[in-house]
Amino acid sequence: MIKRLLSLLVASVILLSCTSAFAELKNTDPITITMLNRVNAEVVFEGNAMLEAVAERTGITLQIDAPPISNYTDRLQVVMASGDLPDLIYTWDFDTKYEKWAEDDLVWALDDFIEAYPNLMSNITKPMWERARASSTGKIHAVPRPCGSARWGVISNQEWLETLDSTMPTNLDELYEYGKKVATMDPDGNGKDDTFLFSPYGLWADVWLISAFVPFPNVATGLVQGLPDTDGEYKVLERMSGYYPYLEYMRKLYSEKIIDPEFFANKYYDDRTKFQQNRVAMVHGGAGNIAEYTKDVSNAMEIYKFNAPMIGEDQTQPVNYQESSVWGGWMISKDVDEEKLDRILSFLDWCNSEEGFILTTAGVQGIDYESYDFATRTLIKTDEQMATSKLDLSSYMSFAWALDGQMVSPSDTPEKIAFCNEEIEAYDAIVKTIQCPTISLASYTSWPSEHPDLVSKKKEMEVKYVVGEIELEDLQSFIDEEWLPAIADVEQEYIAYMQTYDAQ
Amino acid sequence: MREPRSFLAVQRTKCQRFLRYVLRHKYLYLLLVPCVVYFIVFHYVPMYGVLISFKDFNFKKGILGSEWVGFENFEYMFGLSDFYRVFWNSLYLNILRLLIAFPIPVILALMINEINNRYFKRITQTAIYFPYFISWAVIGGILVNFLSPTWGVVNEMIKSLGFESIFFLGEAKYFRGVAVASSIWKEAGWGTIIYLAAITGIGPELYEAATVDGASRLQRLVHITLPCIKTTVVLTFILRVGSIMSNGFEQIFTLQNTMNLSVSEVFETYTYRVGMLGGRFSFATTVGLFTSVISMIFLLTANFLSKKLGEEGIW
Amino acid sequence: MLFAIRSRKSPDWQKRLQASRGDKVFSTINYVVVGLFALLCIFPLFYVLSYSLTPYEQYLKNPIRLIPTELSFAAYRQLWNFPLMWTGFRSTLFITIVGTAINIVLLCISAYPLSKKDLKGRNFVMGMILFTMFFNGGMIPNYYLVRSLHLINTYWSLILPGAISAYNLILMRNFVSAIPDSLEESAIIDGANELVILGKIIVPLSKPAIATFILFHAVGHWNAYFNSILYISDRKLWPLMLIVREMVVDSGANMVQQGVTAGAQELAQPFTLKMAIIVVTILPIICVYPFVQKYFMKGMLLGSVKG
Repeated sequence: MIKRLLSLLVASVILLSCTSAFAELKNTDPITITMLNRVNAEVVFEGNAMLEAVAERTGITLQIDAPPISNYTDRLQVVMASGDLPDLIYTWDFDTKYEKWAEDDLVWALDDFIEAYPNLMSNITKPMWERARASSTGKIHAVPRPCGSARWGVISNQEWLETLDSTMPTNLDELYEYGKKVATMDPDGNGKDDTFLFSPYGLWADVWLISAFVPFPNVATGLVQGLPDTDGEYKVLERMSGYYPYLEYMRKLYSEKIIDPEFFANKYYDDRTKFQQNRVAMVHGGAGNIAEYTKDVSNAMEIYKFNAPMIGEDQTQPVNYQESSVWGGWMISKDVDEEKLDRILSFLDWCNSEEGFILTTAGVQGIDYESYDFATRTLIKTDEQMATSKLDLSSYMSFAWALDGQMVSPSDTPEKIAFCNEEIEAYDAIVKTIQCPTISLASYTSWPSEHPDLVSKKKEMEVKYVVGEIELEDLQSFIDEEWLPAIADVEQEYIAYMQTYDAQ
Repeated sequence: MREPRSFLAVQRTKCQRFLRYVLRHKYLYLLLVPCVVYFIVFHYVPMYGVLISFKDFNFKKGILGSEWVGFENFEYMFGLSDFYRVFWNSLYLNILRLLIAFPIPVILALMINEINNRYFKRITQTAIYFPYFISWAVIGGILVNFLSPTWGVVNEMIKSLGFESIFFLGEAKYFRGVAVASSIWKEAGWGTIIYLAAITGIGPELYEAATVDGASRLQRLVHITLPCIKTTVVLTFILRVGSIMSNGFEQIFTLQNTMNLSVSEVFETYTYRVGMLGGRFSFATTVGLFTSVISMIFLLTANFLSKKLGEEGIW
Repeated sequence: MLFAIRSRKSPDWQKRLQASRGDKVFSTINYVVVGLFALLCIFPLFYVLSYSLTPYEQYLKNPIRLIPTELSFAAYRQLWNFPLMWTGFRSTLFITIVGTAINIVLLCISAYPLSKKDLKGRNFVMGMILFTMFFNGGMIPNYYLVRSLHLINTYWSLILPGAISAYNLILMRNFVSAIPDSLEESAIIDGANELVILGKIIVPLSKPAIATFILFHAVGHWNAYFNSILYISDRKLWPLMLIVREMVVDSGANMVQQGVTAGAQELAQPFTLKMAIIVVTILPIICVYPFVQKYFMKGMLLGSVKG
């Protein structure tokens, strides 16, 4: 009796969980949707198991036009101007080009439609939706692609810590002390004066250090961050109490040859290459990066360690500032009628459900992977499946890259996945994660195109100050006399915006 | 009363004369037809795109339907504070290239021509072409590594000689030297081809006569080879002046960084950066139109001067 | 003349002696300078070759080694196994051969009439051509044109739009002008029309120039990729250069913040792959060039330029 009740209970639980995992697709009639997207070079469309499975399940045949990734923007411009738009178009940025397309009425405004789709509403959070809001029309013109929440920190070379008889620094003073040792005590043992603490990519990429001074999310290309200063007031970055102290700290490190004197010449990924070449002791990174490094350095998981950001003077624990993670978005051409719009949106809705997510990012079971456990995000593949999945899938071709803030799998082998999960656990235990609001201001979107020279001049002045070519007064007078007046309008709008935002 | 008729008659005879001329040279005109058709179809038909610089481009309305804004885009461009510096950088760097890098392929071609050993000639000729085929992105990366003040080979040699390492790409004053020198290395070899082709056209009997007269090889070079390729050199020079505003995006982009930006920012990288920041849609076209006009003026001036000096021009 | 030189005491002989000593110095300088420059140019190729065969880890340890300590063919294997490499090669081969042929034919037939300074309308056409060297419509109007000619997704969209290069046309015209008029005149007296002159006199005498432009155009087609980004969506038609660029896409700004592909596998590193790609794309040109080189030898026209 009890057994029967139990099995009934189990069965109903399974049934219930099934219905929430399987999104409802009201309409599965066959239909073709044309798409413009970026796709890895290796992916093959004919005989693609994933696309076939999608067609079977949803009735949708995806006709993909995939220009080369490296010049996607050029092709996108031409396509948008050609008058011959595909139904679904990927945009990687929500910049002035996006604003123009929205303004010129090329793509649907989605505000009135999206509420009808439960998965779109639950997996894509409100701040993520806000990223896709065009200030030119005030409406949302794309479905953002949700991405994994970032955990930023610093990766350290453990061998060097041992050689120099040190422990991983956790605050600014310890960092300085360790830096001095690295610069003077030749940890790589080659007799040359060529080792440094780290080699930043510009001055505003190493958030593990910056977060000890000012609130600063990594993808910040904008002028304002949406987080208050230590006194609770909202300010632009240059007015924050930690702005000058950060630059002064970097200047001190530079003058004592603790950071790489060539840092400003770094192109994207040079900092990582220098770290792997054993030229620097640390590098900016995120959780899961070390597992990736094993491609380049086979024993990466043994000799490198992922650490939390530095703790600032007035902080009690390390802080991770996160911007709502969005990896581009999907625009829908105005040429499709409302019925097709509904089909497309329900397709995207399905991709944001567990079933659709797994199918579009992990592929078909048996062909692209062996087994998958959604709760622990453990994806197991045989070697053969690894090869097939490269032909079937591409991260660029996913419609949702994360479900509930987590990717389908942090890595590709069980030991790496375990390694990544450990990193994440250790990180979450000590780091406080703060979400940065998405800021959508009209004056702020057009500001960089109105003042391009000022943006690069500020960058130049900051680097010159850190490098020691100019003094603090020179930098301050530039900021006070040129930068702040130019940004005054944005500042005002920002403060007003944040005050209403807080009130909500 | 008689005038209108004779006017028409004059026109008719002009027409007839013209037609007779065309028929007499019919094959020449026939040969020219594909060329003219090509340029009209593929260059003049799309030429209206130049108008983008004068319009506020609207994607839905297209180029012709967009609103006319006159010189507004140009005013924006001239109003950018960095514009003049970028203009000067582009111009100065190219002038350096013209003065230093341009003569090198000519000299190299002359030298190769004087080499008698067939195998040596073949091998060196093939060797000097290699750098042309490796893209700037790769060469730039290798070069940045080589010139690194901490890890680069060049500085290791400098340090071993007792001097302090030089941060080549970190200081504005070395940038132009590095840019021009790397250009020479990459392009000089390939540039010799056109001059070697010109040299091949020189009749050997001229050399024979000079040898019999007792001329040394150097004398033969200066008095025979050089004058015979003069037209080609002048022509390539004029054409090169026609690209006086272009510096090649990839080369500059890979060698550029915040500290040398004041001399390394040229039009190509500037439009890229402004475009990246989300600049105006027509900015690149506006800059392109401006640089085209300047380049054309330079070319026409060079052409005019060369004709005044008695040389052949493009016309 | 020759008898005069034989006498060792004659001033001609002295001059000859001096000249030959000067010659030797001149010759040595030539060999040394050209040799050094050639070495300087060839050195990066060794570097590229070496690092295309070295596993990335070794590169990280020592980035300036010319002879690899460990050999790894992973990059080459990856390229060999990649099906798009082969379709790309096939596409580029077609485009290069057909494209260059069209280029050269058009160049020859257009340069000849333009070399006649007194042809009526010649200056107008030259002006028209020169103008296009500076001004063009840009990506969007050109796209409309190619589309309306139904050339999208065909090789012709990569061949026709650049069929005549104004720059090369001007240079070719210059070479054709250098051919003495006397040859043409005697042919006209023999009753030939311009087409015959073109075929029997101009083209044979322009061999060095034609060889030069074959080289320029062939290499241009071989290295081209930008137009195919705009006009070709079918991956199987993509030319080689486009595919190789894709394989080493500097996805700096494309990268997701935190890790990219779950399921990334044993790939040759982008750096190593880049090196292998350079070797693979230069190889065909090295193979073809020796055939073209003989046209640059002195004395090619011996016996032909006699009045």
